[in-house]
Amino acid sequence: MGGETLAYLFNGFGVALQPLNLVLAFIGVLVGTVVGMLPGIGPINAIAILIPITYTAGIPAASALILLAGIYYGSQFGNSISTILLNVPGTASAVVTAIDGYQMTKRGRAGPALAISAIASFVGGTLSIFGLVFFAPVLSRWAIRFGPAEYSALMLFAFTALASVSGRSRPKALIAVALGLFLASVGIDPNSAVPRFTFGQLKLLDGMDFVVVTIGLFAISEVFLAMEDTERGQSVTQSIGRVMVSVKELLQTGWTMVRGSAVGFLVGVLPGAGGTIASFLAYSTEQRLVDRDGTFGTGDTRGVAAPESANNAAATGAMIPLLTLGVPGSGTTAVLLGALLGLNVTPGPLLIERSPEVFWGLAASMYVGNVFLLLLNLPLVGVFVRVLAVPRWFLFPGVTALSFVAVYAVNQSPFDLVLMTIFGAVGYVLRKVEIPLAPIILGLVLGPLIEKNIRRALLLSDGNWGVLFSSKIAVAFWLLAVASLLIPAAVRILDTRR
Amino acid sequence: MSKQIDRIVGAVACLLALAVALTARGFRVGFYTDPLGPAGLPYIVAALLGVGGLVLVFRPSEEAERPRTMSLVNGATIIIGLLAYPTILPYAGFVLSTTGVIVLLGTAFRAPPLRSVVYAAAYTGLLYLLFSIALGLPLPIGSFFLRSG
Repeated sequence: MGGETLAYLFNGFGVALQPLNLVLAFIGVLVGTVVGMLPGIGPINAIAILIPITYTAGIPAASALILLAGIYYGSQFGNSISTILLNVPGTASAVVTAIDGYQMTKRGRAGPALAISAIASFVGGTLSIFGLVFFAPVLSRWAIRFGPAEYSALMLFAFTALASVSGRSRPKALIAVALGLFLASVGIDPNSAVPRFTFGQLKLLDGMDFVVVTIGLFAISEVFLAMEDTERGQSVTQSIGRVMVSVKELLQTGWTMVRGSAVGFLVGVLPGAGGTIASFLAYSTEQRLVDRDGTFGTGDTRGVAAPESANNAAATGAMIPLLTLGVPGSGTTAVLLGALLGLNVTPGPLLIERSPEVFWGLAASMYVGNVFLLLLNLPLVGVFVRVLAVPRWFLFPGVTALSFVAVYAVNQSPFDLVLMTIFGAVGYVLRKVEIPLAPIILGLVLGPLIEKNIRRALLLSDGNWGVLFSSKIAVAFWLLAVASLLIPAAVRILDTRR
Repeated sequence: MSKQIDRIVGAVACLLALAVALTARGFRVGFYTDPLGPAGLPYIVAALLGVGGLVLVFRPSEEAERPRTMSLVNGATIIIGLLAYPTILPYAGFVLSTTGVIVLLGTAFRAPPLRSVVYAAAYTGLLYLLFSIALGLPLPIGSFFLRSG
């Protein structure tokens, strides 16, 4: 099996090293670094904006995925830059890095902090690809026997897992899932040809395009949020010093990076959890294991290395359920699933067999991309830091115009632009009342799939609902779904009693 | 304060649940398609919205702080800019509309006027080159120019 994997991976490098794919991987990780670094512009925005562009450009599926995935894992590299320098996390998964990273900056050690972060990201990113190439084919072979009942239960688990970790309020996460499923049901029902929630609008018969919804909810609502910050008059500059780290310090953090990668990868594979929880878990594990002098929280390099290796490994881990089961566990991977479906690639147990160039090409390109990222983030980090000083009047009107073009590219329809604006305003209100947005996207992308699977299962069983619980695997997913809802609540009750 | 916000969110969710459920009752077909039918998913949506909404109404959280807001003028500028864009796009064409909307949003973001106009024009030109010329996306030229030219 090992030799076979190596042979496939070798072929994957054949795909990844094609000039077009090298260029796309580079663009992907470059864009990823920048959007990961800029607070407020995350990988979801960038991927959603680039999806219609890849369709327009007509690049092949494997190449498109190399580009879009590059943004995803690249953002996990870049997100530590603003965290370390400004104490403003670029994305949520870098929140923990702020604890020790910003302390290092305050002590004039921003350079070493950035270097450790880049190296830890590289270690996490690279080690986790081994996990990807060995576990994904195994999981594929196991999942090949999944029928509609198993898929329905698995997707339900994905929903409950994401809902249980999104935001502070369970009922609000539930509402978010419902809103996503509602958007998924808009348009002609494929089974019965009944138009649902189209409000007499012909343009809604085809349903909601997820690119339009995603760009509206995420990118446009972010423009409103940026307005608030402008009114409060925040601005930022910081000097970083030399981006270097001594060999001694690097060796000190070596095992921390390896452990962080392992924790991150495993958490990343689970639906819902993702980079944020991975980095928290890696940090607290490391604190318990090695923080004998109580230096964590005061600018300990290991406090930077642990979360940064973990969130990068988690990004790779999250690709496994996406590619082998076709069931994403987070907002970003849900957007990637939408992109793949649009490219006529259906992720699932047969993906590796039927489209080996997509899977192995992606895996190989992730090695290449991580090398690019290390080069971009070590010697060139000074250049990126200047991007942080770009004024908001430059950034956000520019993002808006780019969003307009991207949404227009979907159907060449001005109506989509109006929809995008409406979703932008809705997204802003939802953020204000703390309804999480990621479950909405998951609901929108998975909604049609879960509906199709439940209906197919019921059709096969002549309407007997027992079919949904008829196999051990399905029952296991149902139990996991219930557990993921109950365990956090139970923990909270125990916590308050203590 | 935040308790009230949660209660309002919950109430809105409940109303939405009701609206979804009532609308879904009309999703009927004369022939048999499948056991769940077209109304199944909407009913699930209504149930989730209803449960989430009721919990928020009766057990609102106290942790949240009062959300920040922005000035009405700036908010309105952004909304008007965003909604005006698709309206004028078919007539004024991509280049003029896009330059205009960037400048308008720029004013809300306190851009220095002259630099903002230069930036808007240059950025729009770049987008046009990239998408229309390099990628072949048919961006509208504008019926206004087509008629006169």
